[in-house]
Amino acid sequence: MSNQAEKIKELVELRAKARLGGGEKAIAKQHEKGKYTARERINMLLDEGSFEEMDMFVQHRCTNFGMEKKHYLGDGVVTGSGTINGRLVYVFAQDFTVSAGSLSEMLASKICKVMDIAMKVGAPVIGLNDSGGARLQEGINALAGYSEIFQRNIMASGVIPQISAIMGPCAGGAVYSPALTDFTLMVENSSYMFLTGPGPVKAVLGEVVTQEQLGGASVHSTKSGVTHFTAATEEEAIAMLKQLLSYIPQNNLEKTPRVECTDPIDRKADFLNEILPDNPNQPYDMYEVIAGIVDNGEFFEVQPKFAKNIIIGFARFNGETVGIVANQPKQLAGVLDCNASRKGARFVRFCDAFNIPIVTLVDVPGFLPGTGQEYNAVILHGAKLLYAYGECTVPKVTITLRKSYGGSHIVMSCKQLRGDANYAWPSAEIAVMGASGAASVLYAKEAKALKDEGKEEEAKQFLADKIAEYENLFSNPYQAAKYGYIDDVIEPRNTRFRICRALAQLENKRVTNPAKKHGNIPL
Amino acid sequence: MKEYKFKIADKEYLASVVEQEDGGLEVTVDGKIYNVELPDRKPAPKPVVKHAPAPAPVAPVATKPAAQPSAGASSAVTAPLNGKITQVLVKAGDTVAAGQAVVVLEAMKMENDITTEFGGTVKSVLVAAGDQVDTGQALVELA
Repeated sequence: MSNQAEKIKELVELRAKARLGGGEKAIAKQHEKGKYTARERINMLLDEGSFEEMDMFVQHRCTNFGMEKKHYLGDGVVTGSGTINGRLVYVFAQDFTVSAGSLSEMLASKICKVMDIAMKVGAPVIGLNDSGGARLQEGINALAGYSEIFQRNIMASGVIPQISAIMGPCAGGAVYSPALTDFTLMVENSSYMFLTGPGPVKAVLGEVVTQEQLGGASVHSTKSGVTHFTAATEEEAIAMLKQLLSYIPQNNLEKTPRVECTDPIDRKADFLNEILPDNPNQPYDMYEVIAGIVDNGEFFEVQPKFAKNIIIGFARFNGETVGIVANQPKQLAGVLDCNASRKGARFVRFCDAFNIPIVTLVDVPGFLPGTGQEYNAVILHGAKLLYAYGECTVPKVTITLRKSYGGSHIVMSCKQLRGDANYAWPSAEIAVMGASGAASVLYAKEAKALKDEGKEEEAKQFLADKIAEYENLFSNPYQAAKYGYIDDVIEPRNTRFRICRALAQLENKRVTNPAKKHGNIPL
Repeated sequence: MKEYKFKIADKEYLASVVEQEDGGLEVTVDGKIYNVELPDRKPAPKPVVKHAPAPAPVAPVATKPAAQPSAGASSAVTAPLNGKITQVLVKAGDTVAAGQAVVVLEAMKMENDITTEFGGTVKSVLVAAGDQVDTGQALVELA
């Protein structure tokens, strides 16, 4: 064999060795747990044959606790680039078969490298997380590694989309990278996220919890809102990542990918003329409205199980991506509360950062009252949504279907928050507060005077009349339309066409906020 | 879980399909549950996911149950809002499916259908029409 051929043979062997990660035994163990390996995951995610791995030969340089004898090519993470439906992405996948995917200085530097390149070329970064935590043998170097990643997450925020999938453990400091990224997906029953695990929780608080109860996908998708998506299997998770990417642009300077629209933009949805119950106090399903107006009824929901009183997600109008924000009258009467506000706010800011127009569907009775809400700072959470809408410069189309009262009217993308096209259905009730509340405040004196004269019945009748008067005057869209706060009152079945046309008009909208270092959103 | 809407002779049905571990399907149509076997379908090739054992306790301290997931609490339907019960839709002994409305609660200018998260048999109804209830109050107990 020639010298050259021998060298090539060595390369081939080294590559084969690197591809085995922690070795066959460790791979079998990973499969036994019902999990795929880092490389298998990347192969599922990327277009066939498109993956180009980098830093395959990286090794750690730790010499503590016998680490000098334990070396694996790649050091516990697989990184590189590839395409998804032909579009460039950068990926890193932590390899649990190598020292439990524990994060070392060199592992972190590999992740940082792909993030740096992704920033340079303007392509999304997808992280597949499956790591036992910091590599303890490396001490402070592992911590520094995390910090380097977080700093890059922060710098990349709003520049390139960052997506995290949690496909195994993600505990301690490691959770902050997914938390900083735009979207997090957890695989049910095999992933968990928490800052402190069940051990310390028991030691410190005496509370006994399982990993699943503390930070499983079921918890973070319903109670905390930490994860945006959950998937039953890794295959499903990968499919969701691809679908999510299909809606969003490569970076903050690009427009969203446009797909061919097969659904006529002037399609009338006749059922919308009848969807509202005659009694305005009865709920209906906002999902039906969304399905009735968007292209082909396709809606990709974000955080479907968290704060269900507000619905957020991606859809398309005339083939172009929009972000949908809608109150859901079927859940908690569609009120805004702490969780609904922060859920909506973060989504609005994502859309604004990545040039995705926002369509807001309003049917909101108000903010949820009570100590539970006030003590949890509903003022600040509500202000986040207000801030997000007011700051946002992408096209904003708002449809008021029914209720739009008081503070919640303002917050849900009203005209004065630079709403571009604000339409209302004839059923809209846009007012400062509900009729009964308003009348009893306005006429408290008169009602009391009647009562004091012993005329209970008259007092009741008097108030009932005033409530009816207030309702007649304000429980409609025309008061708001009279002042131009609503641009037009539209027939419900034309909603799709009106939204499509408004978005077409707004395609080249240009609004700039004053130059500043950054605002101070009430976090 | 996957949900499907379909129409037969102009009547709309909502079906949800949950894949079982043995490769069969649990299909719920309008609240009725059917177990469906697929003769040609092999069980998913992937082994069942096992959880890593919880780490050993660090110090022997008094334990108290976690606030959330005790079995008793999870079997009651609770009020998500303060409000007034306007209708009770079930009675003791009724079988209910996950997602079914059990009471109507008037709150925030809305008659809210309060649904159960899990299926089961109604053990007892704890409220009556006209009752004022607080957030978190148990409304219906399921067995």
